[in-house]
Amino acid sequence: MAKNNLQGTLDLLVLKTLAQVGELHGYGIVLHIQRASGDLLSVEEGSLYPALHRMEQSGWIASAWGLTDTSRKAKFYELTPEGRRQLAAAEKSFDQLVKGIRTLLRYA
Amino acid sequence: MSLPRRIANLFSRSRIQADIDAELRSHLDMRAADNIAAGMSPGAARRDARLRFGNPTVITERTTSADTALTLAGIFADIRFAARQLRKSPGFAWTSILTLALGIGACTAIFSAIKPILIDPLSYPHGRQLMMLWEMGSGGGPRNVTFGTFYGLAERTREFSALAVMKAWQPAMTSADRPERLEGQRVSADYFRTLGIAPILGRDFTPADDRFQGPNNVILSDTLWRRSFSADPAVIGRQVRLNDTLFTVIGVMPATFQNMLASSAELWAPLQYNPALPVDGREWGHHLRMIGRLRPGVQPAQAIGELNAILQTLA
Repeated sequence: MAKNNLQGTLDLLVLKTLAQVGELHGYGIVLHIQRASGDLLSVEEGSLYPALHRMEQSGWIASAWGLTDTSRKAKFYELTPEGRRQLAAAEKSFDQLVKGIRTLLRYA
Repeated sequence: MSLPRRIANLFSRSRIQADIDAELRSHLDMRAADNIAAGMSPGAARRDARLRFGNPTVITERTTSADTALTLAGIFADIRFAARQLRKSPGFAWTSILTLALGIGACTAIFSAIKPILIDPLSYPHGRQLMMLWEMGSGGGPRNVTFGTFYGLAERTREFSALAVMKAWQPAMTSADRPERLEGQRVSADYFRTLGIAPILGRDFTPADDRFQGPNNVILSDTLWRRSFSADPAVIGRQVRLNDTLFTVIGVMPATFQNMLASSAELWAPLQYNPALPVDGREWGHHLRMIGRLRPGVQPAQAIGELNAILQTLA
């Protein structure tokens, strides 16, 4: 049985983004999710930060202050090995959720 | 989540707060800058950034609570509030405090009294193997055992590694500088072995001591040894006069020995009953207390079943 909720989905999106892009700040994560999903997904920008900090406390991601391309100060996040494991688990769980919902929708 | 780190973060809350503020501000700045680059006026760009972001106060609060164990800070605030309320109504406060104090005090007192008796294991090696054993009276209540019962069970039991009986004994000792009436016990030979404690000086009773018209031997407690014999190690073999009979001191118990079954007993002599007397003779009656030590791994119910079966054959 897939364990999932909206929060879990946000975690998955963030972890996957960091896995694809590497180091990134919060605003960058918002932009990447929107762009990489073909504008289908948009994150409520503020709600990203409690999630980021929660994941950092869980040891899935690590943060450091740095400078952006436009020399602006921003906090950059990157995946930890623990976060990589979490991402794998979250992807699997999400696949099951999608498969389960799709099966249910096709049920006739 | 790492609770210790989040609690530690409570103490550096202002630093964390500043960090979060800076991070959220940098997000809004970047969004606004992008908006301006896309052609918005600075005012509209800021407004749009805010709209997309959501309520900054709420976001800040939620982000902080992800970093710190905020509930602790909340609890602390509650405690301060409660203290203020109590100060405002001293009558209510004192009533509550007294009620709690009396209640807690009574519970503590009762528990302290009951704990050593009901909860703590006996202060003997493998105390859980020890059982008090009673006969069942005609009304179903416990009744002291007869010597016949003890003798019959001790000969036959397999589930107990040792059985012993005891009765109170109050001899008058007249050999010391002044006569003294002592609290003691007459016990069967295996008494100390059943409890699992051996004399620290001299020797324990043997079946040879505990036989009809056997030698008058006595074992002393540590307190009696110190009080009346000045803790003299040469006390072994000395004669003491008890109830006008000469007894030979053969052992001294260690100071750590707590005699749960007769806490004031200071000396012990063998029972020396005559097993040749008829088991239902009135000589013995129901006046002995019996303890048993279960063999390792034997359950009490199992042992009780065995004793009942033996008693059937004795009757």
